Amino acid sequence: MGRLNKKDEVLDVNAMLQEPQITQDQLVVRTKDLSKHYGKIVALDRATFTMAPGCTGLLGPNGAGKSTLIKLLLGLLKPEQGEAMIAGCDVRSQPLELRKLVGYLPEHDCLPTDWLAQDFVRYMGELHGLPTRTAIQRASDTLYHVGLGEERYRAIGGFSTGMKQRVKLAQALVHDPQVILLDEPTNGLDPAGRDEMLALIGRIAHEMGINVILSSHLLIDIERVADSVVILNNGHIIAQGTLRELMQATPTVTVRTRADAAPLAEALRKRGYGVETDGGALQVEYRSEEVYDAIRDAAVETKAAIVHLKRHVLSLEDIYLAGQEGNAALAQQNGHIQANQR
Amino acid sequence: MENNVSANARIIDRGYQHYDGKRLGLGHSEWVMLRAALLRGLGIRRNFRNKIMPWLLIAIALLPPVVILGIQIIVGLALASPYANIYPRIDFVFILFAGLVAADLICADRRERVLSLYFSAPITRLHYIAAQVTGLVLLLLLLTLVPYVILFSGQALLAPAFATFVSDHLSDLRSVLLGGVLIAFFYGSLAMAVSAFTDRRAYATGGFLGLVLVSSTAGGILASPMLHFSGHEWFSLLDLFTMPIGATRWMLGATGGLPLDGSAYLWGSFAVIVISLALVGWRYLKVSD
Repeated sequence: MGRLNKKDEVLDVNAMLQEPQITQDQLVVRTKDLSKHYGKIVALDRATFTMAPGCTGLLGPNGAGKSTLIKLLLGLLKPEQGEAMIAGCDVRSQPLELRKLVGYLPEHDCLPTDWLAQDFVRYMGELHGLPTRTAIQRASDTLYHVGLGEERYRAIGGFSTGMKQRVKLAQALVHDPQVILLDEPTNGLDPAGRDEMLALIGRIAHEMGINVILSSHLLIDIERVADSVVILNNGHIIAQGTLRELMQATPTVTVRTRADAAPLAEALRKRGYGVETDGGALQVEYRSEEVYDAIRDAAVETKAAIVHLKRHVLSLEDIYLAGQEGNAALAQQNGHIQANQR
Repeated sequence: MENNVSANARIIDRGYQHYDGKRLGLGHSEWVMLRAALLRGLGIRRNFRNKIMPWLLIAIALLPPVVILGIQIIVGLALASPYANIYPRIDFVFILFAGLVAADLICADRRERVLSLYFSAPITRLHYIAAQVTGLVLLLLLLTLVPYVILFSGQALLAPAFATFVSDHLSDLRSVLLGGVLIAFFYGSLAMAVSAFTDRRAYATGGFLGLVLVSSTAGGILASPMLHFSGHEWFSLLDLFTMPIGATRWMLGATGGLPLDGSAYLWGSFAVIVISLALVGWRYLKVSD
């Protein structure tokens, strides 16, 4: 292996760039047609998606159905329709078993103010099935890992918002779950606190080996730590896939020519590609890498001098906004790459 | 020596450790919640302010046996069966303790929205509330049972013949045990039922004390013979203050001053316990996390 020639090296790099194949058993979450209504309000409508190991962002505006989805995955709510598995457990039939393997950090304040941090985290560990001695040890260790090693014998009521978020994170981690569900963990934190919390979440997912589902309405949070993302709007899944896939998947290639681009556009249309004029540039429909051959051939045919050729890379924000505006078709076209098809 | 120390020195890895051991079941979680309720009710591992009332009330509940045994030791005056007369004089301690501790056990969890964390653990809502009710009842037994068992044991030890005293007063012991458990369940479940409907401790305690006092006043007035209507005595079953004490006194053979047969108070107490527990369970199946 140490004697690879240049061609082999190129092939290896390509292989590295491909996502590893994930089997059904390795999926952290798998849902099919999951639906939940509150009266006439549709909280979640036939949501079908998968979440691979690592850190998955659950992105959507307020009211998109993120918290409902998290509660369904915890077995705290019963879906009216559909099925869901998390950490290998069925949310309908094994709610107690799954909660031994899942940690949860709610969005709102939820800590008992007159408990000592150490006592509370230990208590949560014991509630999740840890023996008492183990729970004591792990509570100390977990509080140390979230940065509260020195403060663990102080009452929670005297903690700052950032420290309380860390206690919430520690109680979600203390029983060594396979998956933790974090509902808006950066809410209420100042920029420095947010930065630290995101760094901590990144460590949990990438160093501690615990799968993280990070719910947020903040794109920047998701972009920073998540490996993949599921985007929700009005109870619908509008996009899902790895960040790289979502951002690289694009419908257009931007082409600029030195002279009038109309003949080139016409030649591309004759070859079956959709072309739109965007100022002086052409936006050529991207279906596969063959589009570059078609552009080259069309440029030769029309004697067009190409000065700019670039595949348009979407930001997560583009996809998010497309979804928010209800343009689900665009989002689907741009980013609907099923994780289970990778 | 220094070299040896250096040779033995190691960097302790504080990296995250996974847990591969056994994960215990619902029984363990239930015990953990019960233990927490007992410690919380007694103010243990909490600041001094939280310890004052429970321990003061426990001390007051322990006073009658201590005084009676003290008199017996110092003066030599032995009361044959003092239990029935103690309960009516000390029932306010049971009621106050139940009102304060019930509110302390469950109101703060809802007010601070900790239930969302507890219910994300492998327990159900009914497991949670069952642990809290059991904790309160066990704590109430410290007041309704332990002092009388101490009194009985002390009297037996001070009696000329231990075995004779025990065999002569065995029915008293049985009634004291049953009565203590009945009173603890009665006030414990009733106080929990009231506390389950508010997340403010003051309202819960005040509401419970108010309910007991108002029911006692209303029951007393409506059951009064001065009203001259038939069946008026049945209104004494509205009196939540007297009901379990009346049943216990009846079990101890002291029926004086009760408008109805003692068994009516016993059945009435059972009904209140069942209704209260049903209310608590229903409330916690519905309560928002």
